Amino acid sequence: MRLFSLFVVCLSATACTDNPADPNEAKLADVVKPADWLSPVGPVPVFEQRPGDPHTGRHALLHESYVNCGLPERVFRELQSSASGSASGLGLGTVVDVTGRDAAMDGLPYNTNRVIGRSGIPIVSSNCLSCHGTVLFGELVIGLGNEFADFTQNPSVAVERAGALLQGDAEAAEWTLFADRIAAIAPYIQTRTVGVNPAPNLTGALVAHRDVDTHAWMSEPQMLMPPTDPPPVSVPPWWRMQKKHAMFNLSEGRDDHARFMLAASMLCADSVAELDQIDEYAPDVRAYLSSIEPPAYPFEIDRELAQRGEQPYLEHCSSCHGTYGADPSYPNTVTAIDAVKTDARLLEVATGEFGREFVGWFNASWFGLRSKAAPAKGYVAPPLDGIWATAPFLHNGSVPNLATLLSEDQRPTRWRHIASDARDPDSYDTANVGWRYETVAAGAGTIPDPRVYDTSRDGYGNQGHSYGVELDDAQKSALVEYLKML
Amino acid sequence: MDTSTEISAQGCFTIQLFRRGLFWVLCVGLVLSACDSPPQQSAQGSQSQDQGHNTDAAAEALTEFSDWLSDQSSAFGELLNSAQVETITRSFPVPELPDSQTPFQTQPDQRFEQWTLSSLTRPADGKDWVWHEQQFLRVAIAAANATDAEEASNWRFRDVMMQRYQSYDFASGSQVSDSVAERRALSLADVTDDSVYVHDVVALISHTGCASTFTLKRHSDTRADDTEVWQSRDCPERFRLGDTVFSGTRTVTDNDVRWVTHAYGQLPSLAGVVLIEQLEIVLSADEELLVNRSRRRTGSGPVTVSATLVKNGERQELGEVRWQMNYADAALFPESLVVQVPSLSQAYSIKVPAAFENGFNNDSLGVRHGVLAEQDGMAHPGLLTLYPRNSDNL
Ligand code: HEC
Ligand code: HEC
Repeated sequence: MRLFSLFVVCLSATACTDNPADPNEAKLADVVKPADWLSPVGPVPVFEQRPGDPHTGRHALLHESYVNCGLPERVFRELQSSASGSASGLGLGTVVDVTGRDAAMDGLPYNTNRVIGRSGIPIVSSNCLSCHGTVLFGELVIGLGNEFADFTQNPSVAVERAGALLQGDAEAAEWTLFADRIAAIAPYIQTRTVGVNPAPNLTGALVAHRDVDTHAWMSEPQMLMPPTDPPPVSVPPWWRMQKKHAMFNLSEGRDDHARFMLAASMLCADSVAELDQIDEYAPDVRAYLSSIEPPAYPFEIDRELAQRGEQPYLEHCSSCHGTYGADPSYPNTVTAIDAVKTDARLLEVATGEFGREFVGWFNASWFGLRSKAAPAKGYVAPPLDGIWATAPFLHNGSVPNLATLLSEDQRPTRWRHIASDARDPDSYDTANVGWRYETVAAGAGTIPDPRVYDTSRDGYGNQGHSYGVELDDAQKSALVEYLKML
Repeated sequence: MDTSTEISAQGCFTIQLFRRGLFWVLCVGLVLSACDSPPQQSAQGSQSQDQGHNTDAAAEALTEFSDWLSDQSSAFGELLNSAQVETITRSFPVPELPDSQTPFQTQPDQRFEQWTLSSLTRPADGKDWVWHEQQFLRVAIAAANATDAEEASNWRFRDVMMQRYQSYDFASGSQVSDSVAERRALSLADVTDDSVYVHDVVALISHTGCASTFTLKRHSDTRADDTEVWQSRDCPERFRLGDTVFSGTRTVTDNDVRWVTHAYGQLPSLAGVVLIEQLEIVLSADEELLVNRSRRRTGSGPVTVSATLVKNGERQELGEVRWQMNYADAALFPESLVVQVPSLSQAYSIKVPAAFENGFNNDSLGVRHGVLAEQDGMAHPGLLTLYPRNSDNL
């Protein structure tokens, strides 16, 4: 599926700047002292969350205008029908049944909401499921990160082309708003490989264009832009939020989660008043996210073998990932980068110069009134519930399955998924637990294939997380079987 | 070979509208992929990509239509003023994308229909390429305030039709011929189940499976050697955008490339905030390079250039591409264009035919024309669509 997402968010990053040209300088400096902008590694404390109603939250997620710009509905539907009725030409995802959606959205992809734009006409905006929803074996799983989305292309290409279909001033105005925002961030959100996600960079690029006080869009960036080569991220499943104290891989999403989540609104919410409106249902959205249960492993499990995997799990894994079963526990801990030794680029960007400015902006802004951005120099050891469904693994999606995760020397260095979506159970490898892949020799073909995951690229490394290496093959396969049950 | 499974030549689907002395153009880069071929399993086989491409093509085509519609300066444009368009649109059937693959079936019941037959031909001496193009356009029209009965009456014309023929000689760099005929149909022009004619020029259309033949001749001339026969081999690629259906094929032989396109349905009307320019290069019978460039009429916003290599029906996006045009002072169209595709380590140079600058005047839109794209001493036939340099007030 070609998905260039039109918006969005979910962040990471940090701090404050000494750039004398920055009009916000004094303010940022006051709020974020260089010494206190990072979180320590180790346990993440509990943060109290605003209560909300999951049912209301689900409805809001699938209907509300938190990403309040997009293509005029008429243009969008015309593009859909031109493509013989199925996927839209803008690659905005497929049309599947979504229970409980208004009839006005019939025929629209699950990852879009039909909302009323500021000029009064209906528009189709991307919703959170562009990244956080997957059609898994034929059914939409809300909250499961999309590991097949394609962010390798310049999103402005398709958006600009849709501009050829506009009729009338209102459509032109809606499109121009949207297309201009996409154009501003396009250079920062193109990944090198299909499947990985540029969301932290996307949020960073949007923040850089926003006035910290009024949240107005500034055509010129107000602070450092993120690097143009975004650190690749594998989208974590929402059900982890039942257990996690902080959002994101670097645990930077602290204090109020609800407000942080709605950073997706950063694309087009141009005033604090608009943000306040969105924030009214944000706690409900958070409550819904935290109510989602992972899908059960749908293939056969060898219970006896799995049972034998419990012991090695408890010995080698549970100290970081917690325990499962009747009396579960989860330590909520960040493992220092020096210990986990996985690819450090995401962390380096989020805790480097750009990260400092980002955190400074965030904490001084409307977002910072409730939430706090504070990355740690390490990665969160995530809960492993439903881990079978979230391949490929590690924060950058560099390891295709659980078996190779447990055997560092067997991780493929250049590989590509066989399938281009998660629909077909046959493209799932039940022995190794992950999507089937093939290895690709370097230099094969003159034209670079964006579907190839090349682990030698900066940020795409598959090293580290060498836990359990001392296990023998029998123990490893028992452990893999055990993980299917979580 | 069984045409239903054969991978057809990749092609560019073009839609072209024209009027007296001018040439609107609009090529639509629809890549013609396999006709009924099974979905590609391999790398780029995702359906949505192909569809996205069709969509681009359609968007581009519609830009052109809208420009053309909004132009009131020609006799044709006058007839199509919006009140008349409004009156008449209600009584036409919604065109469906046909299930059958009968190619280029005429659609006399539809509001609007258009054929374009284009070719780049290299005569036996191997050097001097010639560009030919024959077009037919029909639009059903009613005089203002006409009642339904009057529209149907033989005493009132119901259709406006045009045909244009032009040819261009690359050796001399000159337009050899350019003629336009425009008729209000009252038996002076018509479309029937198997033919279309305007005044003296007639195209007889026949089909065998997916292959179709257009026999072009003059009513007034019975000599057999004055007929021209156009054949297209493969099932057309089709798509629908709004209430307009587009189809096209491209046939490549040793010494020529022929494009046939057909569009019918409602007249699309669009504002065309974005212009799409395109270069289609035919690298071989089963390989083509498509380069699309978008720009806003206002001159603001991003200019995007994207290239796709289509080989045996498989599409491969080529990433960053450079598109550089060189203009003489005050010229509206460039003298030359260089397209560099770093991922192929290739650059194509095109000398832009004088027909672009000559065939254009201020209230015209853009031009589509055959070109030769030079790379490493080889000249590849292609199609180029360009708009004039400053397009804000088109
Ligand atoms: C462009 C893709 C994209 C969109 C759209 C998006 N997200 Fe995310 N989201 C991500 C990525 C990638 C991460 C992980 C970022 C990281 O850890 O650095 C993430 C992380 C999260 C997390 C934290 C999960 C965890 O385990 O820490 C939550 C909660 C979340 N997103 C909610 C939302 C909500 C709610 C929306 C819509 C309002 C949304 N996201 C829209 C890509 C996206
Ligand atoms: C010292 C703490 C620690 C131990 C012990 C540990 N892990 Fe991890 N694990 C982590 C961290 C930190 C990450 C995130 C690393 C990253 O994404 O770069 C992680 C990531 C993972 C992931 C990938 C999650 C995803 O969604 O991509 C899996 C699966 C996993 N661990 C399984 C295990 C298993 C099985 C064991 C025991 C053999 C184990 N871990 C032992 C800290 C630990």
